[in-house]
Amino acid sequence: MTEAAAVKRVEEQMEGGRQYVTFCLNEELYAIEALVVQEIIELGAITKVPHLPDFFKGVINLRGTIIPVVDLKMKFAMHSGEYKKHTCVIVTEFSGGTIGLIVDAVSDVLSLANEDISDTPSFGAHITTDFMKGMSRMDGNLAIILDIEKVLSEADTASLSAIRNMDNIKAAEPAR
Amino acid sequence: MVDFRKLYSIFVDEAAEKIAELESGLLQLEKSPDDKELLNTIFRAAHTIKGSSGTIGLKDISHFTHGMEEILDLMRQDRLTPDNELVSVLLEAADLIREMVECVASEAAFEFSRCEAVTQRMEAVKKHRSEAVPAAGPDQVKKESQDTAADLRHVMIKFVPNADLFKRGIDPAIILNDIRGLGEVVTIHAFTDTVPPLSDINPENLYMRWDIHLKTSKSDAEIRKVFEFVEEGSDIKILPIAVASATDLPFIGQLLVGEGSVKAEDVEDALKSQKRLGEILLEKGKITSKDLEKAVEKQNQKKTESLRNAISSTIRVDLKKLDHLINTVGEMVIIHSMFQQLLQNGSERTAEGIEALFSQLQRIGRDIQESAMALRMLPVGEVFHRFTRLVRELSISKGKNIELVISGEDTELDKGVLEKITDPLVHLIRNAIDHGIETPDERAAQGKPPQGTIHLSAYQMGDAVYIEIEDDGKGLSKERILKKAQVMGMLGNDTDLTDEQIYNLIFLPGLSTADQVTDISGRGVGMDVVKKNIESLNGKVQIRSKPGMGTTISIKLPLTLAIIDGLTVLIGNEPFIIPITMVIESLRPEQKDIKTLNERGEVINIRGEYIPLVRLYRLLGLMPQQENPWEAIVIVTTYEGRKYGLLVDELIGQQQIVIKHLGTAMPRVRDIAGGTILGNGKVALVLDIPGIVELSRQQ
Repeated sequence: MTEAAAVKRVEEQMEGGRQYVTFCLNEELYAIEALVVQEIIELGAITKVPHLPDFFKGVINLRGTIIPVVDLKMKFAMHSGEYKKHTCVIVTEFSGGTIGLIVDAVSDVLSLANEDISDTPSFGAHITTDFMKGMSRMDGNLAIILDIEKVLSEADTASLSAIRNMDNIKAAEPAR
Repeated sequence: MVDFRKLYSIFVDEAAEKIAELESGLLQLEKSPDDKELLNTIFRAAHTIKGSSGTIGLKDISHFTHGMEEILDLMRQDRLTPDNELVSVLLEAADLIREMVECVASEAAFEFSRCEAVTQRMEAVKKHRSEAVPAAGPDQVKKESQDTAADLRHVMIKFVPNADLFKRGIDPAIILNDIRGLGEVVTIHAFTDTVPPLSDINPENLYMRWDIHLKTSKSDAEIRKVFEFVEEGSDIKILPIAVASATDLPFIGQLLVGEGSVKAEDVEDALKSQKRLGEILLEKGKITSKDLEKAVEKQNQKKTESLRNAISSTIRVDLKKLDHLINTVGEMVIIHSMFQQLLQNGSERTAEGIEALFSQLQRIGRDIQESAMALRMLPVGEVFHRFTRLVRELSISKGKNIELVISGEDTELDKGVLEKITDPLVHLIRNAIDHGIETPDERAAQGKPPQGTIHLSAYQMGDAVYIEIEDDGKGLSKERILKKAQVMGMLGNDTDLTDEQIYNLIFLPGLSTADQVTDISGRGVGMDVVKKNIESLNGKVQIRSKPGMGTTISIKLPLTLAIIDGLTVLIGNEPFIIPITMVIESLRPEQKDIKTLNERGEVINIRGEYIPLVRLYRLLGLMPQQENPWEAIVIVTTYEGRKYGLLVDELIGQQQIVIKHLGTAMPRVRDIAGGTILGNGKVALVLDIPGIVELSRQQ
């Protein structure tokens, strides 16, 4: 980072801008607020936990603590392939506890002022936008800013109902 | 600025400890009223509560405790004998203090008007009895003071000090203290209405005035002498006041006795016939007995809650344990530096040297693990002693005479286990009082001593702790349990049951709340919940009972929740852990021993016994290595008195594992108890056997 950029970042922070971590899911760019990110780790061995919806990949060992991990691509019903070298886990903290988000690659940490973020356009009924905070233009790319609380609390409700009717586990998968 | 929250939280912790001391002390006092040392301990506890509440400005608590302390002081002087009634009043007072402290903790407001009834009873006891009991020494002192009583007069001193008292370096508190030296100060009333709002206060000005009610033999001039230095600019009035009786007893009973309109015995009788509020309301038809029961129930629930709260989120650790831990950590640091030295010094870098150091490090690691676990261990006595109170009150209300005998209170249990075991124990003890032990008359008719005994004991055997609740009551009725179970359709055709199985039926939901339960029911937990709670701790419950001789309930608990012995198995290619306490045996069955029922359920014949087979891979949704049970392994486990065979692919071995929570963000899965981290860093899941059995029953 150049000095000028660093100065710019500080200035932005002074103006009330927030820091965001951006990451890729397939070809799309997403961002979450840096404040909720605890750390970013390499994807290690995942242990599958039975009876949970598919996007709940299982649990991992985070230096002696066990945390659950969620595959964001599966959560958003996107095409999900093999995990690759750059696949990593963003460890986040939300009101429900600590959880890991599996993403294709983490690209950057940058500041966005509030006016840089525009409202999410409506896509009609077939795409839910509840879990999006807004969108922003970044280096010519469009980034979707996620509201982590909403993303994960929905994950919870989906899975909880799945446990309630064990027989319908397959049906309870997110159909988005 | 002083952080009052912090002060309060320190006070709450300390007070909780002291109240517990107070309570257990009082209960013991009832049994050994002559124990002076015990009395001193109780007194000190009350005194500490009074002092520390006063220090941080909780005047009402301090004031209330003061009343208690006075009674205790009279007991110390042998002017009061601690009998049943007195102890009851003091226990109630202790309860109120506990509630006050809880209010401080939760930052809620406590209604101090609720104290009045108890305060009055304490006053009554104090005044009434301390004079009624003639004691040699103090009595003489009393006489002297009564002799001079005739010369005593009551005066009201109205003291309006000069506002610039502080500027002259005079502390009005000293004057008030001096007045105390003149005689007996009955009341001091401080007027704060003249104090301006904080923003307008000049800290160098004195805004207050006082009214002092003094009982003294001194003349006005002598009293004025105290005010010598402050008289200038101050307004001091000394007014005589008339008091109806020479004694300073405000109680109507005493006044009536004094005026000769009633006899002292009559007043005592009347006081004795005083009833509890609930009973009076009931008699007057203001409430129904159901309402009363409900309210009493609520009160009882609160008490249970306070029992649970007894174990706070902090832990008190024996200093020796801590020292040992620190010492071992010290050793580890030394080994570390030895390692470093070894690695830097090329010539000594031999395999043997490293191995020797490593084995030392291993030993220390184990030591640290053990002493760290020991920090979580608490003596069960902390919980047991609180039951003395429960038994005392419940047996009185049931009209039974029951003694609680406690043994093995030094047995240590993990704090987590101890917390979760409190509720089930409360329930089991209540059951023993309610259903187990007979009334004194019934007991006498059977030739038993009128006093029933509940024996609460704890001991350690192997890697388990046993808690036993033994009563010498009427025992369980096999016939009644069987009949009930049949009526409720729980038995089916299965009538060939062992005694143990029959007794265990009372743990089934619905059955425990059958006809045996009387009016203490509705406490929210049945025997099925008791059993569930204990099983969630990897524990076991057993019932032994002999008609007419009593019932023993034995609870077996693991020493700690965090570390268990586990059997590692492979299901498909995934390792899973089964707690070894749940495993009876493991075997590879023969093909002929596997039978299907209705083409659905499978059973396996183990030495003539048919037990259901649970295909774990199917339950957990995994791909098995072998479909055929005769090529795989069956692990026999037991749940609710029945055996089940769990089909796994491979047996890896037995090892100690540390159970970890799967994280709060993880939705709860019924058949998984938690996870552990294996040597290769991967997470392995620990199976929850009760959950698995229940899931398999649903399918």
